[in-house]
Amino acid sequence: MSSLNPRTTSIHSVPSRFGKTFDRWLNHRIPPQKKITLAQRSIFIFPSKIGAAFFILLFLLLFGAINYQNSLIFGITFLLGSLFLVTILHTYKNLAGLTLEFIQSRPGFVGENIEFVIKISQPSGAQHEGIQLGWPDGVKQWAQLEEFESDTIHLFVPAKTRGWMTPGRLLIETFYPLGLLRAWSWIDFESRALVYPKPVFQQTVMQASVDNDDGEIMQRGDNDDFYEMRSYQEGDPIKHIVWRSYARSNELMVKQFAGHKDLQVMLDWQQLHGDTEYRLSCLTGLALIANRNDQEFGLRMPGVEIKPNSGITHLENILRELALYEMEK
Amino acid sequence: MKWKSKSHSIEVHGIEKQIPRNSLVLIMLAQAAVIMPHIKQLSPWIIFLGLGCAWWRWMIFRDRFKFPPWWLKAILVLSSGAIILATEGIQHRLETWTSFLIVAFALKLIETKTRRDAYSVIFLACFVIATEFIYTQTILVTFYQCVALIIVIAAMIGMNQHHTRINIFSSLKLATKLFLQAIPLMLVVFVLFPRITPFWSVPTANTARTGLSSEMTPGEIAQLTRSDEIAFRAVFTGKTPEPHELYWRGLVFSHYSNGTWSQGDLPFTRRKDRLIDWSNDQTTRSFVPDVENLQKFSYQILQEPTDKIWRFGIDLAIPKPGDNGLTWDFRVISKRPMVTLTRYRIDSYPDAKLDQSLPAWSRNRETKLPEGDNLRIIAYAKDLHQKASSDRQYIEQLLREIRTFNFRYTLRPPILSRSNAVDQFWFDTQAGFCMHYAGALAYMLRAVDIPARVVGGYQGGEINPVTGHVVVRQYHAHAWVEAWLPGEGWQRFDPTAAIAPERIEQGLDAALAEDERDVLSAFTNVRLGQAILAARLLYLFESFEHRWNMFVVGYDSDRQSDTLQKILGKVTPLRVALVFLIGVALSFALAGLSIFIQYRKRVVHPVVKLLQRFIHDLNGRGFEHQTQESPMQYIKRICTEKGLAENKYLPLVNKLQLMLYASTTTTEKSQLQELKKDFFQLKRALFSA
Repeated sequence: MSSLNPRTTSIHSVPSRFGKTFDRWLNHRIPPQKKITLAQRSIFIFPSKIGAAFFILLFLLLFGAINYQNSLIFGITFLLGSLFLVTILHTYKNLAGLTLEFIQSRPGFVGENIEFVIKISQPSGAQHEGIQLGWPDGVKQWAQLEEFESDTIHLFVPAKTRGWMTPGRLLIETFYPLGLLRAWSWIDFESRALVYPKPVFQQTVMQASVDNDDGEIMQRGDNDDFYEMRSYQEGDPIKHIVWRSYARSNELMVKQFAGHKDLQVMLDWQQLHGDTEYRLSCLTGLALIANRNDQEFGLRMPGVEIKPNSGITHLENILRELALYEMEK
Repeated sequence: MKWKSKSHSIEVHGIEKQIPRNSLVLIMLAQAAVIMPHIKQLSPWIIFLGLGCAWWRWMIFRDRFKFPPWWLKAILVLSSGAIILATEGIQHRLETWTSFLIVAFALKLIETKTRRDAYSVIFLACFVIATEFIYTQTILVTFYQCVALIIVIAAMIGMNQHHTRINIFSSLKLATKLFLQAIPLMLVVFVLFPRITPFWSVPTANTARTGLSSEMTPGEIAQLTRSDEIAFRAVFTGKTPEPHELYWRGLVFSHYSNGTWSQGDLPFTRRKDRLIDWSNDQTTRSFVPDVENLQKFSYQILQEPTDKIWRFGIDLAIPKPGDNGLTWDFRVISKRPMVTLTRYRIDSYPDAKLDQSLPAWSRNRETKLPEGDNLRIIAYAKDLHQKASSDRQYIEQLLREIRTFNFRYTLRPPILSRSNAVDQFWFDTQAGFCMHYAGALAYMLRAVDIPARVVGGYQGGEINPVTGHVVVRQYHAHAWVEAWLPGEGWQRFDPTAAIAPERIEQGLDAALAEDERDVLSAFTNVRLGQAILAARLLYLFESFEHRWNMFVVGYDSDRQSDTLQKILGKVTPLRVALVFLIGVALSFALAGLSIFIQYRKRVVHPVVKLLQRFIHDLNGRGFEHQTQESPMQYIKRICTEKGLAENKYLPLVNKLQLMLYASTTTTEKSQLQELKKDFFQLKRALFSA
């Protein structure tokens, strides 16, 4: 049980055979879109668990009022009841008018948390408090809209399998002001993120697949050694981003590694053993090492052949092939 | 897209599991506020327990202490329960339940970890507020409880905000707004909701409410404290009778033994029911006299809670149908103990004959005296009676003796022994108040076989000059004598009128010697004293209290049907529903309006705010801002005009541009402070240039 963020009961607690009907209904009601402004059609509102407990409180108070024939207990009971009704409006208005926009997702590896970036804004400029966002399976975040017109929220969802990850509909909810009611919406951005296979690093296989013509080793330093930090440029591998420094200075820095140059490698499916997923993992690991070593590398898989090359776009292409192997692209 | 149908939960950060600081402060504040009015009736240990728990919770919050382990909690709960049961006994009493409620409330605090815990504390607080209304229902208490409720609402608000946003004062402000918005609907429901009869009997308060007691032992009272608490208020239709006519009958004491007058048992229990006329039975009992064609006056009484069944009326009081019963000895009683302010209507027939003929059992009962007690007075009475020509003359002789002998009216009488108390009073001490005189007179009548009894109730009342109603306070409590004379029925004789006629004609304070005035409270002395303005203020406040009782606290089913008739004309479901909808609409309109106003107050980016203030400051001091200029252009222009070096202002302009237009919208507090400093420095540079 949490304190500030109550566990949300999914609106999908309907039995599964109604589930599909419900999905269809929801799709009809809140159709998928990249940008949505919450309004009457897309906002649901219902008493929370605490609201249900509040009703029990009201009934007990009413019994007391009747049994003691006490006008003032009647009064406080009706006041609390009216308060409940009035907060319906406040809770609803707290969500209404908010605009949510899907900004981007960043690819990642299986086992990592995949980042989705959402921008939430209040074009009307009104105050909105106590708003939380979260994907099913993910972690809820507070939107800080109290002092600013918009907020960019980074949401993370753990990746479990490779391929296209669809986190589903985004939950946005609020219990403000009294916690007796929950207003919420499920928003479908049709967002997806690419999840690469979980890398497995196996040096031995690497050696076997190295091409014969050796290249020269760069003078900059030892194999795969950390060389320097520089600011992030489009296309730099995310793995190399120094997040700690980002948190400090707000500037994206990447680690640079010195390594071998001009070594051509061919990452070959045939030279690996094991089941499909394991081979994909090994290939991913090899690709990453090759890239870090600034080698030119290619990929050979059943139905896929990519010529050796280097650079971040090349790596992404290869990882993409690996992620989507035998899957719908 | 495939949308998973199974239910899933969204997890939260561990760091937010704790109840945020300001929210906890609000919860503890709410708790203190709702317990405060109960303090007077709580045992000290409960107060210490409450304070201890609050302190512990605070230390937990500051990470000094840990939450108590389960066994300690178990010990605390069990021992507290045991102490309550041991000290208060296993009784179905309101105080016991209140103690339990407040102990639970205090103990809950030290295990309040989660949102659910916090809400159980908040809901308990609502209960404690309601409980307090069982004890008191005055305007002041109601006002106080409204404030307490607002704090409770504020605590709820705090639970639903991001912890950086919880601000005690803004929460209180919003709570007040919500409270006010809820009021129209509350009022409508209050008027409309049917007042049903109670489902079951409820535990009542046993704390000594000041009021009449069911028996009287005048000899044991060394000082009669005269509380100025209000017993009831009476609103007469038509002319208010003179004070000396206002004998409010409450109790009849028919049994004397061992110095004590009490109501006494009836000689039979089986027929007791036949001796009470519940007017709505439509069966007139034989003891109820015929009152047709008699002069009457009507009034309604708003009686403060007594937890007793005794109601008050002037002889002969025939209550209007309702929960009222008229007993064989002409008292008015209620079906249930009156735990709340009660309103009832009475018609009084002062000329009605009470008991034209006296049944044998009643004569026997009203002439009975204990064997061998107060022999001197019996002999003295018999002697006097023989000398008198009639019963009435005998009684008048006794009253004359009280008036002319060395008797004294005092609220601080000497103590009398249990046996021969009347002897002692009549022959030795000769000082006392109404009970002494009434007791002695009734005894001396019974001694010569005249049926007589002591009647307890109130005498007189103050007329509030503002609203004209009669206020009867506890210090109006009085006892007098009723004697049955053939052909006349029960006749009232008030020996106090003989010893202290001012008491009856002008009220209590007139009868009191200067040195006895301190038995009255300060307020009473002001009200009855010479300070006109202060007295008037007190009367004014009392009239508010009276109206409050009439229209709010005393809003019962009678009042409801009157009111509904007045508002709706004819009470039909459709009209009731319509009024209800109007209430809903009003509340929603208020809420909507406040939301609308809030919408108009646009959130301004803090950087913009700083920039606007900066420009405003300069604008007023010679650096005119031209309308078509952007803020950046403005800064650049005035700086170049003043000949400032570029490095003095360009970094600031760049920073502003970044903060205002860069895609990252979050501006941190430290950045804002830095910006403030920059603005300040630039301003100084401009002025010095």
